[in-house]
Amino acid sequence: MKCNQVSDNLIFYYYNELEHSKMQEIKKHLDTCEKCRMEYNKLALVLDYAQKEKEFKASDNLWTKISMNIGYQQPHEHNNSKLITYFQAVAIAAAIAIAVFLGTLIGSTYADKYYLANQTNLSYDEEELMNPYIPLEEEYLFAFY
Amino acid sequence: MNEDILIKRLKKGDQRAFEQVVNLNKDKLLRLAMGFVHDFHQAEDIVQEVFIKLWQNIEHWQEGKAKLSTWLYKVTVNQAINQLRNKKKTSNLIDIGEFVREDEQGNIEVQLLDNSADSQKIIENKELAKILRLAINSLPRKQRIAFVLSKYQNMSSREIAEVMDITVSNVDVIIYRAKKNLQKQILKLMK
Repeated sequence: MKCNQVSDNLIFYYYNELEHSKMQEIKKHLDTCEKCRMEYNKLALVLDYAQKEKEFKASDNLWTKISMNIGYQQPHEHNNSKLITYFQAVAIAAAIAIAVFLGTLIGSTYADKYYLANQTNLSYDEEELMNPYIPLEEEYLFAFY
Repeated sequence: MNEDILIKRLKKGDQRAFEQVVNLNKDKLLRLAMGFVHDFHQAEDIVQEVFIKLWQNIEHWQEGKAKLSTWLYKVTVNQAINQLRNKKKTSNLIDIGEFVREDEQGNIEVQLLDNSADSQKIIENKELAKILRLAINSLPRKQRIAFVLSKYQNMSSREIAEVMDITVSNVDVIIYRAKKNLQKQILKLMK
């Protein structure tokens, strides 16, 4: 095998990715050719270091660092904040609706009571008999001012 | 544990499930990041950021679309390449980081280099790491990614194809070219 053929295949030889016969031929060549051997040794030195890098393992405290980093943050915090805003809006709307409903209910109850209370003390005069709603409406309005 | 169950637990904010995911994948991702940055501390920072991204984005996870490990590999590759790009921008600054270490308590230790065998070894390893980094990073993007996945992660062509979204035959061609180019670059740098 010639030097250029060996040189073309050095990295594949290093990774043992050639056919067995080719591997043998290159090995034989490297044993005898100093120039190719030196080239191979340089390549192997760097690629051996790459193999060493594969042996690195993450620190034991990696999880501690990560958990400190995520801290109190929940996974969908961003989305939660939107949900909270949405629920807040719904809650406020519901509270307003309930307040309006209760206000109307209480208002009408008191108005009825006031009306009934006044009904018992009514002294029908001529004008009332002619138009019974006028004074009642005035008193009803007055009761709320 | 089944991946689907693990993801469901993650989505519910289960930190124990998250710890399990971290412990299952941290070494694999560290090796992968090392293939790009060739610096342990930088690689670990990348891995940390990848896991934090997972935690923050798990809500968007679409079940059945991809495997969790494939997603983690993809994000690690992108994170590592981005970090290298950023580092390139500041590479004119003096890099004292290589000889400064921070322990668990946050104490800074400066490694003073003398002429001892250990120091020579440190320098030699730094040089080798630098040559490796320059050689691998001189490769076109696809060749670089395919080579690192193949040699640092021992992935099959099929798995690489999945991570890179390309065909298996394409992967084989890319890796072949990557090795040829890498050999050329290493020998050029070692002259």
